[in-house]
Amino acid sequence: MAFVSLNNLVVEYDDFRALDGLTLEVEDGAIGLLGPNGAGKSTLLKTLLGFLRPRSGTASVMGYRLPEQALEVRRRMGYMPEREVSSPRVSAVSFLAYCGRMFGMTRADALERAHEVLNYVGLGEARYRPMQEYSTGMLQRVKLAQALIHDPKLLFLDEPTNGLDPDGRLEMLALIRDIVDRRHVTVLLSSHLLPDVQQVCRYVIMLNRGRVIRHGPLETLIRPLDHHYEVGARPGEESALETALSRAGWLFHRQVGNGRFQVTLPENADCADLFRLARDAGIQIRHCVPLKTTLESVFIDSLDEHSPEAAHARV
Amino acid sequence: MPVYEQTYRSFEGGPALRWRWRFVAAQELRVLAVSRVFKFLVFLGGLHYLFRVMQIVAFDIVAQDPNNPLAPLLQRADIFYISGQTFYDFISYQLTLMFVTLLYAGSGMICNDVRNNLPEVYFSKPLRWYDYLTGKLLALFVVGFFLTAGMALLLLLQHALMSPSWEVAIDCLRWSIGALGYSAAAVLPSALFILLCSCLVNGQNYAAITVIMTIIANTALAAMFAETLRYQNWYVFSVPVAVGHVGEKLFQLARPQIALTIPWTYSLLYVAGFSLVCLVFLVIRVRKMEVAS
Amino acid sequence: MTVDVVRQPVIEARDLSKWFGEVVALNNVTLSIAPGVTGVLGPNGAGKSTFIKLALGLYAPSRGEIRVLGEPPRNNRRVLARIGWCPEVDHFYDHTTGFEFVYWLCRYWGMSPRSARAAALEACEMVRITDRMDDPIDEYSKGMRQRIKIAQALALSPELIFLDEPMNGLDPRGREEMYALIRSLGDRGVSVIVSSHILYEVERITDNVVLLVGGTLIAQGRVRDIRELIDRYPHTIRVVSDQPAQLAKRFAGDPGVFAVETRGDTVTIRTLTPDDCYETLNILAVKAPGWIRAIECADNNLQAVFDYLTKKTVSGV
Repeated sequence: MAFVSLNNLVVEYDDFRALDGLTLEVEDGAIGLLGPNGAGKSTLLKTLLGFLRPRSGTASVMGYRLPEQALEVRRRMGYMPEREVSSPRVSAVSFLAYCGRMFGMTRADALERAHEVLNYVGLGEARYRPMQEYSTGMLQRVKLAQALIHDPKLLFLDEPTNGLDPDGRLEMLALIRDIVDRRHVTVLLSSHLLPDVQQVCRYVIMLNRGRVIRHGPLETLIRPLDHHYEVGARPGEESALETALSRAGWLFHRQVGNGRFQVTLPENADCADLFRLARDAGIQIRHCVPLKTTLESVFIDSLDEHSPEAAHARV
Repeated sequence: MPVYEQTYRSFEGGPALRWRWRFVAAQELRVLAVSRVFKFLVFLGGLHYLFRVMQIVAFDIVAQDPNNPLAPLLQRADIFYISGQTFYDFISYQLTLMFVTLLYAGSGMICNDVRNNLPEVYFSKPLRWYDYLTGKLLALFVVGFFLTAGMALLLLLQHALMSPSWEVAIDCLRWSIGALGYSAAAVLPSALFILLCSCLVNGQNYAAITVIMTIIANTALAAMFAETLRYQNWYVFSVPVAVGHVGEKLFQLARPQIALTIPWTYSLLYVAGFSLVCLVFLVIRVRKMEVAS
Repeated sequence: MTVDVVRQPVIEARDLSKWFGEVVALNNVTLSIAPGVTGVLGPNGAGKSTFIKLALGLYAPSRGEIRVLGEPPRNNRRVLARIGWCPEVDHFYDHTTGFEFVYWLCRYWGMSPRSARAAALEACEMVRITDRMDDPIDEYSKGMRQRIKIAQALALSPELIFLDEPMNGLDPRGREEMYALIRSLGDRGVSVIVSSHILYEVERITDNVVLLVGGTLIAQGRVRDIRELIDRYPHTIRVVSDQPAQLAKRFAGDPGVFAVETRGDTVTIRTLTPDDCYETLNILAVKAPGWIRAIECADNNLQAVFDYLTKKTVSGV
């Protein structure tokens, strides 16, 4: 069963067409929702939560039609907003128990579940202190906890790693993967950090100007580029490598930041030739990886293809 | 990388929810109950109540008791005499405290939520705008009524039980209705207006200042009209005066302070109208908040 | 590590300490940042923002000294006029337009109306917000607000810019533009100090990093060089091979190698003698093509280096 099913959805906002005939089906798993600012991601979410009435088209989540059965959808859906959320004078436990009550849990039940979900997201003793004393990382965890407390089958995460330091980011991403794998929750992850999306999601949907411009499993979007490699040498031998590659005419691009090079090999050559070239020049290659399209390049290319200028050009 | 073995249990959904607003109200009251300022304000109200309790005891028990040496003294002292005026006075003095407490409790109720991006969280749950609004209003009503009608009714009950004659008990019943009416006329517009300012102004302190300034302006304007046009009835334009007028008439005071010649029903309608207008604007804003979240 | 010793470092700190009551935000930090693009990294609470504020003259050092462009920055208008700062927080006069915001800041800093106008226009050009610069800021999306902040940092044509989480809120295309902008600034001779938590982005902008943990300087320099110096952690080399079992057997006997793992077509080798390992791999690649399809050092990136260094501090090893 499709978790989310939209058919030709048109949603307008003060005369502005935020969603313009959006059609998509979301199966289970981890799905990345990408799009430039203003593409309609938040409008889509508001429609899924039942706040906006579509002008035309249909939308349904887990079989419940929107906006008529919005309350049913909200009961089964969790939302982690992008902006920072805090309830300064209450503790995390109290806040989560309150959220739990809104779902119809008894007070005792809500309290217990609050503790469970706080354990799950990794908030320790701090849960008894008022939220105004929390750091950004802790507030992010509470945000995730409030989205999970009612055991939703569908989760919408908007920039979940916002403001987290590198360790916190990795923990959050691991947590999201755990939610997908072990709890079998369908997760819609909206983020501008495409490598994060690549790490966590298996399917990607790209929006622009209220329409789906590209969608598909990550493996089909991210393909290896034949005869393109990223090479790096032993520290100290980078310039020698650069010279050797330029002389062979294989050098394509010198990367900033890690002293590696992108090379394009001719049709008949392969990896071994690269190593031979290096060996002859007395260079030790320490990095040799076939290049793949990145999600970023796919994203930007899709945007360009579907831009109005391109449409003009086609016409 | 930590792998979380502990996980949260599944939830199949609670019973279909009715009256979700009670959670909102309960949470607001819970948060208030922890605040020291709030506790202090309620304590002040309690002090006033205690004083009245002693007054009733002094009048009903001590003054009637022929064996008590203090009795003649108390019988003659005017301040201990209990009548409708006493209960009217009690509520009138409590009103200021009640208003300050409501201001403290209510001026941040909505704008603090908005500042902390809580509407996004609340409305993504099965909570509608009317649950949210009703819950917040209910919390304010509970606080407001407790400090005024609640305490007044307790005093009336005490007086009815302690006093020897039946007529007093009947009077108390009559005054109870007056107490409820007077409190309602005071609490409803206060709570609605404070909550409305909390919704319109984006800072707790600014909202409180807005409320106070509006009341000052309102009363000043009424005074200005009344004095320049030399028509006392213009004073009813000031909401506090209108509320006082209603209270006086409900308690059928022998010597009313507020010298208005218009019938008290007009004042009541004015107060009710004001409350309704506040409610309408509140509804509009909170509905917009639900969508914008 | 090649450092142009003739050019003066843009920031120099010597025994720099800053404390607030009992909390020591920076503890005896001595470092020197060369011109160019540098990343300042560290977990939350490590003292990064304190360090930047000290460099901007917003705080005075509790002990030690700090020099920016050669002079102490506190209350020093000469130096401050040559520095730009894009803070992380988002506070604006909401009703002004983007252009007005930058323009009035320029005027506030002493430029004449004409030069302020030109500077503001150029800054908006550089961050590509010209088409929306006459709209009020409260109508901007998060990404646009970010760009206006950076425009204001650039408006005075500073020699040194501090960017605190510059990519916050930008969509992928905006991020690409920002990387290009930062690199172009570096190419033009402007020194840029970027503070960010998103390590793979810092890697795309620059090689040079400064790592602060718990108020102390843990590492400074190029990521690869830092990695070389952390010898307590064995190198993890991942090899994609057509013959994973054979390859694994070949390395299993090696003295420096202490772990070999095979999963599918990937062989992961953990070795304390990376040089020998790579040598062997290079020879094999030529002699037995097909055995080596790809070689990758799994922990030669900023994230891994960061992990090793921060965990080392935390565990006290």
